[in-house]
Amino acid sequence: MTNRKRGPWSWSTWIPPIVSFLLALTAVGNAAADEMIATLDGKPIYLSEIEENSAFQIYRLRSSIHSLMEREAREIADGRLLSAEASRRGLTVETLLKKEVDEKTPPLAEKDVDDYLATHPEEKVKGPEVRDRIRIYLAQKALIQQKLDYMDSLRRKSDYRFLAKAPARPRIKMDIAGRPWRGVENAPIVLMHFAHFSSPLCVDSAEKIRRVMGEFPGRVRWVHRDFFSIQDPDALYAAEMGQAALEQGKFWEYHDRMMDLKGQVTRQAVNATAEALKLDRARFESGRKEGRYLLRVKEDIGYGARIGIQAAPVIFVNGIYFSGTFPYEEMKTIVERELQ
Amino acid sequence: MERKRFYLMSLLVLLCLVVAVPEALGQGKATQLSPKRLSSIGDSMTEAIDAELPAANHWASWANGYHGFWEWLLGLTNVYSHNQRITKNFGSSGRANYMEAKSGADMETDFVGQTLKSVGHKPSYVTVLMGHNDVCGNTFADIPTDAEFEAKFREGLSNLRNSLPAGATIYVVGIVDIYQLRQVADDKRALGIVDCEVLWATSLLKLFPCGTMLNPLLTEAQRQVTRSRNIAFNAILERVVQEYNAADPNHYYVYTDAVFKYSFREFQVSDIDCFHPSAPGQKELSRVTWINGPFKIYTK
Repeated sequence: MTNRKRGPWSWSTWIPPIVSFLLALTAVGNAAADEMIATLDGKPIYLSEIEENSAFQIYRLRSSIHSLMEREAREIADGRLLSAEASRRGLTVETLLKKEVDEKTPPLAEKDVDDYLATHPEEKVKGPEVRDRIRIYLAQKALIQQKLDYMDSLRRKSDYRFLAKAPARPRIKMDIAGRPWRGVENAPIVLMHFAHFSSPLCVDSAEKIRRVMGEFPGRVRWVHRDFFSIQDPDALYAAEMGQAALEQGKFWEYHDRMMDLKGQVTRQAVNATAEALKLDRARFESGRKEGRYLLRVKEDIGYGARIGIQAAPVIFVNGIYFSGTFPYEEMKTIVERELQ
Repeated sequence: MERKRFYLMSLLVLLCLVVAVPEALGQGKATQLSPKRLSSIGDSMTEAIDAELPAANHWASWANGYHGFWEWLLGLTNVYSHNQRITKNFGSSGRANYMEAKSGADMETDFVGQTLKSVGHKPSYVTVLMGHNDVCGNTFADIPTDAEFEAKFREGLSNLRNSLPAGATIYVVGIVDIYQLRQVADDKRALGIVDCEVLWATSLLKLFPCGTMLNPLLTEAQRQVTRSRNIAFNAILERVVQEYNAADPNHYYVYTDAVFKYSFREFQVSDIDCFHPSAPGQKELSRVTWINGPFKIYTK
C-alpha cells in the first residue's frame, strides 16, 4: 500500500474544512431564518415546525412577557419621576406625596355623602350602614384622584417612551381536511370557525362570516369545526347530530337552522330540526351508539385546544386568530389585508 | 478537668434545647394534625368557575382539584391541587376532600355559614379564600366597611376555633388582586384574544356581578378605590389570623398574601369570562399557596 504524502496545499487536505465551513454557513442561515429547538438522532426540529400548531400559544406567552415589561417599565419610570421631583425640592418621596396628595385633597364633609345619596337614591334602601360605606368610598376616591392627577402632571413634563416591540400576530397551519365547508373550494380566504350551536356569541360570529361571504362573493371558504364544553349535554347532542347531517349531506341546512335558534338549543329542538330536514334517525342512533360522531367532535375540540383555543367562538382567517367577539369591521380589515 | 467542664456545658446546652425547642416550634400548641381531612371555604375562585369549561370546574380547583380517569380521558388540566399534594405527601388512607366553597359567597353573608358546614366534616385542614365578592359589589355602597368585614371574619374564625379538632390547621389566603385580573382582561382585548367587555356586557355579569371593578364606565380612580378596599381587607385577614394564632393553643392559623402579590399572566385568566383564573391560573394558585403555606416543607 502506498502512503502518498500530502502537502499542505493539496485539495484533499482542504476539502473537509471547506465542507464544514459551507455546512456551518448553511446552519447559520437556517438559524437566522429559523431556530433549532431540538434534535432527534442528530436531525433538527425547528421552531417553524413547532409553530405550525402552537404559534398562537407561543404568541400568548410572549405577549404576556411584553405586557409585564410594559407595566414594570412604567412603574420604574413613575418611581424615578417622584424621586427626581422630591430631590429637586429637597424632600423625601413620602413628604412630597404628603404635601401634594394628602394635604391637597379636600376633606370630606357630611354634605358630600348627602349629595351622593341624593344623586344615587337607590343606595338609600341598603340600610343605615350605607353612609359609612359611602364615606369610605368618597374619601378614598378623592385621595386617589389627587394622586393620579399629580402623577399625570409629572408625566406630562417628561419624555417617556416604551421601546420593546410587541410580538407579531402569528399564523397557524390550518387543518381543514374532511370538515364541513361552504363557499369556493380554492378561495383565497379560508375562514375556520370554531363554534357551537348553544351560544349566542357563536350565533353572532356566524353572522359575521355570513356578512364577509356576502361582501366578498366567490373569495371565501367557510369551514366549520365544533368547539364547546364536552360536559354540556345539549351542545354535545347538537354537535353529534351535526356530524350525522354531514354524513347525510345536509350539514349546512342543519347548521343554519340551529343558528336560527339564537343559542336556545335543547334536545327537543335538535330532534325537531333533524325531522324537518328528514335526516335518517336510525342511522344517527346507530352512529351515536358506536361513538362515531363523538369521536369526530372530540377530534375537533382536541385540535382546537392544541392550537390555543380556550373558548368559542374563534375564527381563523387564513390561519390568523380572530375572536368572534370582536366587531365585524375588524374581521373585514383582516380579510381585506389577506386579499391584498 | 477541662473535659469535665466541656461535658457539663454540653449537657446544660442540651437541657436548654430540650426545654426550649418545643416551646419555640409549636408555641406550646397541640400537636399539628396531618392535613388529610381537607375542607375548603371560599367562592367561585375555589369552585374554579370558568377555569376550563363554562361554570364550575371542581377538578381544576386550586384547593380540592383532582385528576382521575375521566379528567385524563377528556384531556382536562391537572392543576396539582392541595388535595392532590396531600395524598402525594401524606398517603391516601384516611383522606377526605370537602368543598364548602360556593360561587358568589362573601365574607359578609356566607363565611359564617360555610365555617359551620366545614366543622361538621371534622377537617384537620381548612383553607379559606374569600372576600372577592365583598370587594366586588354592584356599587361602592355594597362594599362592607372594615369593621363589618372584620366582625364576620372573627365570627367564622371563632366557629372554627371552637369546633375543629385540636391540632387542625386553618390556612387563610389573602384576596386575589382583582384590579390586576382586570388589567389582564385589558391585555386580552388588546391582543385580540377575546373582547372581554362584550362578555361582561352580555350574560356573564349576571353570574358574578363585579360592577365596582368591571363596569366599563368606572374611572381609574374608582377602580383604585376598589383595590384599596381589597388591600384593607387583606390587612384585616392578616392581623386577625396572627391574633388567633397567638391566642389559641389548639389550632394553627397561617396567612399568606402571596396570591395577592402574584401577577397573573394573560393566559392564566379565563377566556370564558375574562376574570376568573383559567386552569393554568388555578395551577399557579395551587403552587403559590402551597409553597407559602403551612405544609410547604412537604415538597412532593
